[in-house]
Amino acid sequence: MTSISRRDFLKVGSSVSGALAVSSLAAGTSLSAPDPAASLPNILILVFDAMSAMNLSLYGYRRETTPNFERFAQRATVFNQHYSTGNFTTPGTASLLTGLYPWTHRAINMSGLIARDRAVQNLFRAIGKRYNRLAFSQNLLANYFFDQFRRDLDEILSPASFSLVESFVSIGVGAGWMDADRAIGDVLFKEGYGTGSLVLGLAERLRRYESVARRDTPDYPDALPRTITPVFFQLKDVFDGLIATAGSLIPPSLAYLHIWSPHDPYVPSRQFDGAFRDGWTPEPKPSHRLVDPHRHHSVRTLNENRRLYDEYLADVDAGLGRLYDALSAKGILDSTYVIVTSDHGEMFERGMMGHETPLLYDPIVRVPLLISAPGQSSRRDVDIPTSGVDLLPTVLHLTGAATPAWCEGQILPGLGGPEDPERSLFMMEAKTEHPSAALQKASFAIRKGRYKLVDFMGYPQYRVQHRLEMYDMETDPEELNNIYSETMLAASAMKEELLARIDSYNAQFAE
Amino acid sequence: MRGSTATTPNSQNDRRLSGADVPGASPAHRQRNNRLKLRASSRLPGWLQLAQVYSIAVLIIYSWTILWFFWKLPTWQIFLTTGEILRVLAFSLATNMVESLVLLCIPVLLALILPRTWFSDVFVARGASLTMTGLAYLMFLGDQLKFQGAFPSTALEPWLLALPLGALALIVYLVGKIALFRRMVESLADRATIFLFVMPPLSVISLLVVLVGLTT
Repeated sequence: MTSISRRDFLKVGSSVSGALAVSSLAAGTSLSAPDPAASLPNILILVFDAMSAMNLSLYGYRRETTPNFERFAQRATVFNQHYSTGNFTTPGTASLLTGLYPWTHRAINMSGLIARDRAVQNLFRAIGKRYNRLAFSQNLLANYFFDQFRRDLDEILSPASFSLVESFVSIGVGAGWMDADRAIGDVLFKEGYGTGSLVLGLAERLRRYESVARRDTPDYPDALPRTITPVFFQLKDVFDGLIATAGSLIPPSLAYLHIWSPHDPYVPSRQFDGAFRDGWTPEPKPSHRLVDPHRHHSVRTLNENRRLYDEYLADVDAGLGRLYDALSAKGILDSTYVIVTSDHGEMFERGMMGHETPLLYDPIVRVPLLISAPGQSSRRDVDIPTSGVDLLPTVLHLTGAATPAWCEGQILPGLGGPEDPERSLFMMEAKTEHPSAALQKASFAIRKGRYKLVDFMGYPQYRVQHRLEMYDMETDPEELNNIYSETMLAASAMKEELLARIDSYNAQFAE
Repeated sequence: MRGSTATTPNSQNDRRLSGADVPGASPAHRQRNNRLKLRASSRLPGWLQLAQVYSIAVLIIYSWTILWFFWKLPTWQIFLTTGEILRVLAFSLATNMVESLVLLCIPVLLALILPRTWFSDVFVARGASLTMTGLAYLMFLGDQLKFQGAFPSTALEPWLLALPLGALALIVYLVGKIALFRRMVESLADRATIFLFVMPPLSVISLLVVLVGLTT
């Protein structure tokens, strides 16, 4: 005899009320948390690594990089001022998954981890066992977090899934034993440097060379996209994998899928290679004092790489379009919240390229956020600044769970959260600092209302302990005119708030 | 032991081991089998010689990895526990053991297939010099094969392989030929055996740690 569990009973019995909740979303009416007893929607979180909102035509960029994002936006809530909490994968992703600012989760170093006492405060545990919880990331830095959350995850896909040529690291030496991966990835088979393993490391490297050379990849005549690990892949394979994964989710599921592209190296496929050879050169910005002289790039190099990045973005966009069509065709969009965002941006200005920088200008911290509710049929725009820490409480809210007390984010406006244009949002960069000690040298930014205040703290390039820059983001979105001295009242208040936060963070290490 | 085998090729023991008494085998066939076995065993280096060449591999391979390990250590100290760092070290040392043993197979193989006077008779000098120069070449090659660009199409130019390999062969030849070089290399290999009292035992412990970690 087939037995029906209480959980199954609730799922089936509440489908009608679930459908009602979905239809209210589709109508674009005020969104509210579904009845806890209602059938739970799937949650699909797509994180595109290093995707700057500033380069998306969705947000008004000059080049038409993202027509499919725009198509997707027609049935989504679009957040037009969304910020990551950091400027590289580790802090930004940790905030997405914990709802905590970097100074709290402390994953602030390259390859860093979330503080042990905070690692239990994660999205997967918070959403609980009522959901099937799956995680996948092509970026190994995010996989370190998955390893920390492994007790809260039902399935972790290999970072080499959907790829052409795996590295030994990605094959995975025993899932859940990240020390092995760290030994291999950071020492023995280290990429970008010499290998720590003279014989096997080199043999592995030669094996990959040979494997890559043998592949017939007409879409990529000169180069294959790859991660830093490296895993070589074709974008179409990755999106095929995402489509298959999304299609195979058993409701209710929470899937966190972290895609490497458009992270560097920027390798557009043949279809998009050269798509933006339009001769356009953005207005050059003065070089920043904190740009490492050894990493300083000429305007020409910056523009050339910006073009490649844009073409790679367009390639990713085409993949998203295919994913969107597949999800629509399979009816998955009618039962799933699809969240598209990024962990940080990318910049090609002020002498700086990429995201290894102490800078916190918008190209590197402003990221896309689109949330499509089940059955949603119209676009909604939210212009109030929002933060990556808001993702966790919002997802919990959408599944009927309350925001945990430890969470530093809040439910996103437009999805049930308060609309507070004067709310303060924070960003920071402190990758050279010890996560268990008071911060000595770091960059902070606070976005509040129309203003953004940046604090470069403790940098020897400046004679002062706090070098402050203030921008009016409404009249100066390119952040060219530092109006700190002209807006003393607003600037002082923001400065005090920021310093209070920093002092509060540092105070716990005072002893 | 090798010597005794060489001086009594027709002993009962050798014939049994070589299968010389296999029914149906012709005398010529038996003789050829005996010769092959004798040739192989007489060229196999003794334990001490193996240890001396192995110690050179151990010295370089382990040092290289430990160097990289200490380069990363300050960062790991920030966010890993001592136990986690030690497990990373255990994995690294276990890997080193595997690769040093794999590397040792190369001079042993050369001793078996090359004429005795070319390699086997000067096994320590040529084996150790081959190991040293070979590993130096691997350091160079590894540096050349960094994934700096998007696609490594030009990294494996023929000269990149042929020129250093030629130089390597010349060095190995000269070391065996010139007495001063030979003595220097043999002396170094002899002194390096001290590392065999440290690294391989540590590696065995590391291997156990790895196996326990991967199976639990």
